Amino acid sequence: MVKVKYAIIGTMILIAGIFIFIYFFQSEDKKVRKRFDQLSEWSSKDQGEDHFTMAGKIKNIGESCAEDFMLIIPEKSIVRKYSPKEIPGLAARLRLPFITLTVKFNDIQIEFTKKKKAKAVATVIFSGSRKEGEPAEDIFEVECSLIKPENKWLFSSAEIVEVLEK
Amino acid sequence: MTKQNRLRQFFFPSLRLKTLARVVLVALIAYIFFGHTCIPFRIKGRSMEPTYANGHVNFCWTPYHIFSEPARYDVALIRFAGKKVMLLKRIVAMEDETVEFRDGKLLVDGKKIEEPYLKYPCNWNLAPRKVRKDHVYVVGDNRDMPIKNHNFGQTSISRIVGTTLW
Repeated sequence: MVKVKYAIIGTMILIAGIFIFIYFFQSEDKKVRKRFDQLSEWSSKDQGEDHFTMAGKIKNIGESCAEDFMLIIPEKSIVRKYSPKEIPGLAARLRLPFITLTVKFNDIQIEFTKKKKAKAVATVIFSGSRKEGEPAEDIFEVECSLIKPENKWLFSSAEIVEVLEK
Repeated sequence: MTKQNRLRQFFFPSLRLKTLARVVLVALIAYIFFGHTCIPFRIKGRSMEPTYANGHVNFCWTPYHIFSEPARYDVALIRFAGKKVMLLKRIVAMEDETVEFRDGKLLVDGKKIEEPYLKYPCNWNLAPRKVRKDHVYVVGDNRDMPIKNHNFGQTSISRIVGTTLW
């Protein structure tokens, strides 16, 4: 009976150990992917989202960007640097016309260019409904640069890649 | 062996090394074939109607590039960052050619191009532009929508993943 008890305790410790190992020793690749998942969650918007949730998400988006975040949209001739203070305002403005919004990152390809620096390319699927009631959907490719100044990966630039040039 | 036993043996074979090897081989072949050679996809959107209707299922045949070079009128699947989401378009012009839309008619190097696959009216106007080296110009078959709402333009040949199986 005692042996069974020890075996159960041992198994539980082993399972807990595996979970702790997975949680604390994530590879850098997984950490960058997690950053995209978080950005997807914070950018998305549910119907009737309250101000408290919205403020939290926008704050998180701001904190996921590095100092002097660079946004490049060649189609609209936009090349602009944003300070961490400006990011929440930009995020709020972009989310404002939508009642619901879903942002998904697919096919994420990560390349570690230098120590604590990474480049990631992803397909962004952007869908939702506008306040006027019309559905909104867009798909584009984005090339992001990320840096890791301390213990978190931060977005330092994002460039929309023109797959089709009219 | 009775018929019932044979059926049972076929659907629930005994776990032998030979059976396992067969299962692994079938899985490997299926992965290579359906994951990289003949990729199933579902059409979302109306940009290729009436040739390819919204919601229909087709396959992306990737060896297309091996046997032939992309040519005018070919239907091509164009990738973004990966193969999870692709654009389905028709190639209408090749590198170094000049593309133009005049009153809904497609002109390549100033000459009107016959497009028998077009079934809907079109009134697009687009100033002439040259297709760059190693690029092709792609457009959808459904031009019964404002030009600004239709995703088309020139893209790198390297982005072409394959063509449709039918």
